[in-house]
Parts: sequence; structure tokens; C-alpha cells
Amino acid sequence: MEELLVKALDYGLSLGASYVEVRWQRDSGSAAGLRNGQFEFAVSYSSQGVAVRSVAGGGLGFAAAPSMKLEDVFSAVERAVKLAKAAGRVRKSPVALSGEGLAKFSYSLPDIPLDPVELAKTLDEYAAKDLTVRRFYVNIWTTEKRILTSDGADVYSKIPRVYVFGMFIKHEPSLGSLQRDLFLGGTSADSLRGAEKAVEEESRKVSTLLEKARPVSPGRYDVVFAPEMTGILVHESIGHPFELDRVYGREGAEAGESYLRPGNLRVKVGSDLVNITDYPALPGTYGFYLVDEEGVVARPKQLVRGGWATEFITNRQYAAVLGVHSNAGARASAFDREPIPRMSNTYLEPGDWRPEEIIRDTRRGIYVASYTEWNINDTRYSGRYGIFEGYLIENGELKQPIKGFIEVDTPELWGNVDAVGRDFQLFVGTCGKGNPSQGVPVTMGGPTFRSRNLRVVP
Amino acid sequence: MIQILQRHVDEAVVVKTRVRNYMVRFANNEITAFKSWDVWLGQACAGTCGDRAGGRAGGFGGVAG
Repeated sequence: MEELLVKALDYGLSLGASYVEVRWQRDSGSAAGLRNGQFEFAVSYSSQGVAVRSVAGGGLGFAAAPSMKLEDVFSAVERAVKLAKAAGRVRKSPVALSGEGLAKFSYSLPDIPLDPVELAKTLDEYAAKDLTVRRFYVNIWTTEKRILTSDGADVYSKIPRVYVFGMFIKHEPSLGSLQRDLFLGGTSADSLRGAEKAVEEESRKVSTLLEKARPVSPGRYDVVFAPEMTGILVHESIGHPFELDRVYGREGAEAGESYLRPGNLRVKVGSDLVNITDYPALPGTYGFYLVDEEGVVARPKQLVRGGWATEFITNRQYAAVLGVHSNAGARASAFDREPIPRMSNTYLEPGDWRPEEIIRDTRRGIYVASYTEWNINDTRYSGRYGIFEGYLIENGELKQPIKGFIEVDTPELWGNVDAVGRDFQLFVGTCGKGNPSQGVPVTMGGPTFRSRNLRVVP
Repeated sequence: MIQILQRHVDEAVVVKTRVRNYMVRFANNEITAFKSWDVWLGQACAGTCGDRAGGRAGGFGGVAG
């Protein structure tokens, strides 16, 4: 394979490209589904091919071949260079990539010795049996990549992942329906430690909350967010809008844009207590990687420090636009997908409050442990988050369960933060973006925190 | 595949189609990338299995925006 990739690289340069990047990627694994304890399906799969990206004539081209044959890969090289030149002819300014010290590195994680059917069956034993629907989907797969670039990167990686999706629905004609989605996973079997307990606890809450949670009185409350809420809030209101391709409009017709504007990036988005980071190299996490798809070594991206936007998720193309180095944000979900700026593990940095202290310190508020649905606007300036598990706080104590929605603008959400916990937890997700679509494994989370005076509606 | 099917059916059709996609993307009246990728429809999930398996498609769970 190495010979094939080197030939492809040399061929691209011989066609006049100033930069060529060749990536072999293979995803192989097995998945299984269970519905109400009944076997639904099992599948094993493997996909592999070669992606080629080139800069030529001032433009950027991408092409992929679902094959390891020399003529197919060369055809992809020819298309990548041809398309780059065609794009360059109509660009106002040529595409440039940031200069980087690139990795020559190989790393592999151990296989995950789990069977998806057995894992789904085991977890189903812990799920509440009074639910209308309980469904498990388990996927265990390995992603292998070999990346060569004409400016020196040479990286092999092998990362196995396990992903569990649990769906729990209770329908009572007199009460309506309530659904809880649970996502678990990581890059080792250890990442599922505690999964049985999580399934047991979360599935049992569905019926209880459907019966007992009452619509919240509309108004403004001091809201205490548990780590799962912290995760989705960080992901949607900071992670996505800090992706530089969104800031510069490249995702405008697809995933959306950003409330950050070119030329006005380093704005205050939160209180002094807000520090938010994206870091791929956290061992065991679902979003783990050490080197990105362009051969840049991963490091913590300090997105927000002291409430100020300080760094943005970027690849080499957008790093060059800003005149900075890439922070290794380029990811592609499959061999036939283009690497674009993506999140990995995104989190609010812990503070110094104990979570229970934050609740005790809240006179009138709402504690939100987890969410159901959520809606966010195109630029991520506004968001609406449905409460799955939430409680009124009165004089520092948790009271009756409530249901409703938090409607919040990003500067208000983070600007009103006055207490950040010392606890910390990450939650698994599949982040969607791009066209054709790319779902990449991520985590999101952080500590418990409080934001004052937020709008909550039934 | 035809040989396998012959023993079990009266009629069979096997189709293998290779689709070549081209996509050009514009932002702010500027081409950002021009791309192309091939899909074997005979292996319909080959190009997207990773996405599907990871929960991106098919309704298996929660793509976070």
C-alpha cells in the first residue's frame, strides 16, 4: 500500500499540484440492534479507499476512489488536480495552507474485545421493562488511516471505537410520551464502565418523569446545569460557531454559519469564569486522535479563556487565512469525505465549586440534569433546549420535577455564569456537518455550572 | 452472484453501478472546494458505512447539530 500512496503523491506533483495529500482509510466492524428485547439486526461491514486532496493553480480539489487499484487511485489524483485548477481559475485569491512541522508517526490502540449482539443483550437486561419502546444499537469498529502529504507528513493510525445508543420511550395516552436517548462509548472497553448502571437509572426515569414532571411556570430563573447539559451547550454554542469554515461562510448552505464574524473574532462571549477547550488526545475518549487528517499533531485548543474567544477550530486552509498555525482540527469521517474543521472532545474547564454547593447557594432556580430535544439557530446565537430531567430549586433545595424549555442566547448563557463546579464528565455524541454528510465521533461535557436569570418556558 | 442465484430463483438480475459525484461549493461568491467521489451502488453502504454505523444516518441516534 505504501508504494501505491507514494506513487499517487508523486503523480499529483507531476501534474502540476503544489500540494498533494493522500489518505487511505478503512472502516470495518460489526453492529447490532435490539428492540424490546428482540433481535432486530446484525451486520458486519468494511469500507476502504483512497482520498486525494490537492492545491493546484490556486484552487483546492478533492477526489476519492473506492478502490486500491493503481488506475482508480491515479484517476482520483487526476480529478483532484484538475478540479483544483478549475476552481483556481475563478478564485479571487489563491488557496494557501499554513506551514506546519508535520508528523511522521504511527500509533495503534488495542482492539475492543466485545460482541455487539452480546453487549446489546446485556444492556437490555438492565433497562426498565415498563417502557413502550426500549431499543439498543451497538456498533464496534476500527478506523485505520495512512496519510501522506507532499510536504512531509506520514502518519498511520488504528483506532477502535465502541458506540452504544439506547432509546427509551414511554407512551401513556393520558399523559403523552417521553423519550430518553442515551449515548455511551469510547476507544476502549473500559469506556463502558458503568454502562449497566446508566441504562438502569436513565430508563427508569422515563416513566417517573412522564408521570410526575409538571410544566414549569414561565419566567426567569437561575439555572444550574449538570455536566450532560454543559456538554450540549458547549458543543452547540461554542464548538460549532468556533469552526473557522463556518465563520468564513463555507458551511453557510449546509451546517450553518457563526455569530463570530471575520475581522471581529476575539470577542467576549462569557463571564470571566468561562474557559472552554477542545482536546482530541484525551485517552479512552470517543473523540480521541493524536494527529489530524493533514498530519498536524493534536493539542488543546483554548477556545475561550476568561470569557474571551481566544482560539478557533481550524485546518491548514483556514489557519492560513488567519495567519496562524493549524490546531489539528481537520477530520474526515470516511475515505470519500474531505477533511474539514471539526470538534473532538469539547468541554468547559472545571472551577472550584462543589456541585451541591451551587444548588445550596441558589434561592430560586432550576436544576437541569439532562435534555430531550434541542433546537439551535444557524449561527448558534440562539438555542432552545428541552428538559428531560429537571427540578425546581427553592432556597437551596431540589423540589418537584418540572418539564419545559430553556430559551437562551449564547452571550446571555455564558455571560451570566457565576459558579463553575469542580466535577467533570464527558458525554458521547456523533457530530454532524458537511456535504456530503460527515458524522464524526466526539464527546462534550465539563462540570456543573450556574447561569443566572435565564428564560425558561413550559 | 448470478451463479449463486441460478440455483434458487427462476429469474434474477444483478446490477452493479458505479456513480461518480461532482460537487463544487461556493462561499461568499468564491469556490472553496471542488470535489469528486465514486460510489459502487452494488456496495451501497461501502462509502457511508462509517457514518451510518456511527449514528449519522438511518435514525440510529442523535447527531449533535
